[in-house]
Amino acid sequence: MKRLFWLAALAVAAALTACGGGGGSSVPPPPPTGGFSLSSLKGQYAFSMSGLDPNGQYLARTGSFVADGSGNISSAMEDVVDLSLGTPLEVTFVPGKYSVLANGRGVIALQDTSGNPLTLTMILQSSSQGYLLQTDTGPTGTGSLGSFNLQTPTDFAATALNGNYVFDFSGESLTGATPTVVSTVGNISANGNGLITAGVIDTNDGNSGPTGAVPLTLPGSYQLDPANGTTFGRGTAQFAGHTYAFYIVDATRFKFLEEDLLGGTSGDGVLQTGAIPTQNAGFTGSFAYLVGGSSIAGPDAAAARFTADGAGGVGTISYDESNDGTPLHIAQGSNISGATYAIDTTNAGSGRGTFTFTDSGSARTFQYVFYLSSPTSGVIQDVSSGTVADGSFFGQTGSPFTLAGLAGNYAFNWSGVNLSSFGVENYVGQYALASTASNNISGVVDATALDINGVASYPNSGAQGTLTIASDGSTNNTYQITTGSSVSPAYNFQAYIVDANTVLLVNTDSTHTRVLAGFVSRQSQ
Amino acid sequence: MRMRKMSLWIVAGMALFCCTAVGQERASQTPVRSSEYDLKREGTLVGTVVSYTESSTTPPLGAHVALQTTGGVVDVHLGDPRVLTANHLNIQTGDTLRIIGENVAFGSASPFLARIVQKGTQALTVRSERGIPVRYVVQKNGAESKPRGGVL
Repeated sequence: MKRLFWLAALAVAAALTACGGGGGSSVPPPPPTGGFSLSSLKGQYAFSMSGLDPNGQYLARTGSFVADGSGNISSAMEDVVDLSLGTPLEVTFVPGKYSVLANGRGVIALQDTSGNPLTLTMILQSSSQGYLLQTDTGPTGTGSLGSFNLQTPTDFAATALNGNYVFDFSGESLTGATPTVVSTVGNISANGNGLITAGVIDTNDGNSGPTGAVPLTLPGSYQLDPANGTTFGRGTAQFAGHTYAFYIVDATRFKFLEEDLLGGTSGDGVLQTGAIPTQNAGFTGSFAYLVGGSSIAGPDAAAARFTADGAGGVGTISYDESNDGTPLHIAQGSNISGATYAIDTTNAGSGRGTFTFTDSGSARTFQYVFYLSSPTSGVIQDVSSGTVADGSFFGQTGSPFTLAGLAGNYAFNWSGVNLSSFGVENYVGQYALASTASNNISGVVDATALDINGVASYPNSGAQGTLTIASDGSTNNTYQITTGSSVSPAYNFQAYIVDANTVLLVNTDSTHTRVLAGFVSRQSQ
Repeated sequence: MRMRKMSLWIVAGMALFCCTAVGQERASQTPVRSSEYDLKREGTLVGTVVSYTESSTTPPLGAHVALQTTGGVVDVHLGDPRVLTANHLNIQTGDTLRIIGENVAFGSASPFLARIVQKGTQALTVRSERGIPVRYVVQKNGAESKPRGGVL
């Protein structure tokens, strides 16, 4: 049995090394180039993934694996919450295998102690982090996507959770009249000795709507798992009426997974660092953000940028959205009014703030809550009417952006919903960006599509396209990709450049085919 | 826990369809440019199905029904068609439906978004109380789908 499994795993690795033809590709992937190798994945990594299971139920997994730098996963475990199953699972794996190509693309092949496979295509951003896509297509297949980070095992102690952490948990809530999408963002204070002493949390769900800032009224607690804490960095936490498993990346980042079956949510907690603004004057500069979730029409995703003037004013807004496949672009101009922000002085020091603007063209008012994990980055929750969405928020630096300045190798992920099949689509990939004005993207993409027929995998398809930078690049830029994948031959995104290393994407096809959003991250190796 | 919740999700049979007259009850009267789904603005449409499109290309995407009411033909968005199918709510031309929902601005139009659809004695929740479409979920035993909120 195990022999068959590893033969299959090797077959997957062999497919990875093929230079073309994956998924019936008419756009062949280029030969993999770059500086990655098996030794690029060496050490202990925490991972987290979320998506839907074959029943369409929410599923998330968070865990840890140890890679030896030579193609072997020596040990691994995970927590899994699948709302089809109910009870959260702690899963341990037998030793597994992995492969890495020069471009950072590889496969992690695991098998749990019951014989169930877990096959993950990975794209390395560096030797310390990357993206994951589950590519199993059998009964254990899911439509899920995630990431992994190098752990610091010396931080596998309860004392590591010490300070103020900003978090963003998203998924599904079962507590209301209708199971629905939910986003929880906030700040908790851990004392390094098992107590969560304070916090403030904003929850937005599809039943009851945004709560606004809700301070923790009761202390929470956390503890290292006596069995797996020092080996995998696993622990458990209880706060705000919820119970979570967590895996320690290091003292600055924890990966959380809700395990109380009041819903299914997951996300990272990140240590607040730097001078967190406590007044409007402390919040200034250019920012970009990406949010995804649901609206009253259906799946919804948006990317945008704005500037904060240090006095409560928001300007130079550029906004692109795909709301159930209907694109919306907003540019700064006379259509914008009421564009303001406010750093929360009631919960001063929490990093909480709000901002809003009204667009008369679409007759919509956009409202957000954010929590800063640093003076220029954090998490963001969309609390606009009829919307439940959340995502990430970054200081925008380095403009004017040019293709010459951006040229290099990138890892990316896209995630969203196919509006024809109502299925979930997930993608990871790698490409080289050249400084030429056209056809400047060349790389490879792996995709999965989960619909009523189950999970289909589309590995190793070529991806070609063009990033066209508009003006100084600080607002929306066009980003078009053609693939050899049979998921879709073409994708049209709006790209918001955060800095020389990060780009935010939201697709704005006018054909109402899919809602997709994702991240592009420069590789370093 | 989840079985108990199911009874809340599936509203089948919660009310007898006693109104045989084809009409428009307390439909949303307000000229709508709100993009918010507000329970206080909800109205009820009663009418006859002129046409049913399972996967409409008219936004919002998904199932749409053209309902002949006393006030005219109303385009109603029903959400994910698989939720209807899985719950055996088969809609055909000539059916009489009672639909609770409201008009909400979406793009340049203001479609009527259904929250509860009733045909005969079967009623089905297709949106949450904030208007988020429920998401299709397969039941392992092949029974009815649980309505669920959308997750991107």
